[in-house]
Amino acid sequence: MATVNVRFVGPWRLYLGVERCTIQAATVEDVIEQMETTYGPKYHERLLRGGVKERRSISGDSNILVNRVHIRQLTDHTLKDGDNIDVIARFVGG
Amino acid sequence: MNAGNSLAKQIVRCSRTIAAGSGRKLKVIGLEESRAIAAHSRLTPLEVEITCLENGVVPMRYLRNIGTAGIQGQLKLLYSTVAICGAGGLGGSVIELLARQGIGHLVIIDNGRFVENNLNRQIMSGEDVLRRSKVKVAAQRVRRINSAIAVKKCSTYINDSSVDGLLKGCDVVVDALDSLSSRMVVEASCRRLKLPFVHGAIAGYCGQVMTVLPGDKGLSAIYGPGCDVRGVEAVTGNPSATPTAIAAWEVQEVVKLITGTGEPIRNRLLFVDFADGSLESIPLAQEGK
Repeated sequence: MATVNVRFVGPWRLYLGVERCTIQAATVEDVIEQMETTYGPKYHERLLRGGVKERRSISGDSNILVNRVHIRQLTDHTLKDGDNIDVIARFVGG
Repeated sequence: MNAGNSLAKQIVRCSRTIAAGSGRKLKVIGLEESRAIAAHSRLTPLEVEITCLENGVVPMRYLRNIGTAGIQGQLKLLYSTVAICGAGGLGGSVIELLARQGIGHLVIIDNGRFVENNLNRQIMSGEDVLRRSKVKVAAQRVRRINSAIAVKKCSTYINDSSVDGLLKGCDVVVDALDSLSSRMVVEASCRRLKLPFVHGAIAGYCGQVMTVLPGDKGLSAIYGPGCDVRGVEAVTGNPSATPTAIAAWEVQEVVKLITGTGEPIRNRLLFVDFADGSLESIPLAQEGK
C-alpha cells in the first residue's frame, strides 16, 4: 500500500471543495475507487442541481496523470509512496 | 530606374517620421496612402505593406506591434500563413486577433453556420448573420479589419482525406475545434506536414493551451490514446469570456512561433481556471519518456 498525493485541477475544486488530498492505495484503480467513493456524491449533487440527469463520474470526466503520464498510457498501475496524481477536468470545447 | 526602386521612393515620399516613444523615431505610412499606392501600382495591398516594411516604413496600423515584434518580426507575420481550424468560440476570436496582428494569409476552415446559441460567446456571430456560413462571415470581418490580408475560405469538414490538402503550405495551425476526434485528425496531419499545432480547449470557467511541435507527444499526453472521450463542457457550458481569453493565449503562441520570440508552451499544459483565478503549468510526459 502506498501513500500518494492527489491534486484536483479545474472545476473539481469548485465542485468537490477539495484541491489536494493523500490517498493510501496499491494501484491507480484503488485511487479512482476511493476518489469516487469520497467525492463522487458531491459531483452527483452538483450535476443534479444543474439539472443533469446523465450518469457521470469524476474519473470519466478527467484526464488522470500519474507522475505526468496519462493512465491510459501506463504499463504498470502499481503505485509507490510519493507518487503524484493529477486529476484534471477533461474538456474538448471550442 | 526599376519598378522596385520607384515604388520604394514613392513609399518613402508618402511616409512621415514620428516619435515612437523612448526617443525612437520611425517612418510611418497611413492606410490611405498605402492603399492609394496599391491602387496605382499592380501590387496587392499586402505586397505594398511588405514593401513598406522592407524599406523601413511601418504601416501605421502595425505601429503598436513594432515594439514587441520589430520590423523584421512584422514582416515575418505578413509573409506567413496560418490555418484556423474552427470559426466558432475560440476560432472567431483567434481570427479577429490574427487579422489585427497582421498575419498575411489566413486559411479559415469550418463547415458550420451561425445559430442562436452561438450568440453568447462567438465573437463573429450576431443577430444579422444567423444561419450564415461562419467562414464567409469571418472572411468579411477580416476584410473590414485589414483588407490587405488574403483569406482562403474553406467551408468543409475536416477529415482524414481532406486535412492534408487544407493545411499544406501553412506555417502554423491553430486548434479551435470542438471535438477530440477532429483535433486528432488535424494533429496527425501537422505531424505529417511537420507543422506546429497550437491547441486550445475550453469549458465553463476553464481553458487550456499547449503548443505541439513535430516530434512532441502532443494531445495524447493530455487525453491519452484514442479519441472516444467526452468533456465536462456538456455540464459547464461555455460562457462568454472564456473562449476569447484562451483564443488570445493561442494567438500569442502563433506570434511567438512565427517571429521566433519567447518560449512556446511545449510539453506542458497551461491550465487556466477563472473560477479561482489560478493558472497552472502542468508538465506532461515527453515523447520516448
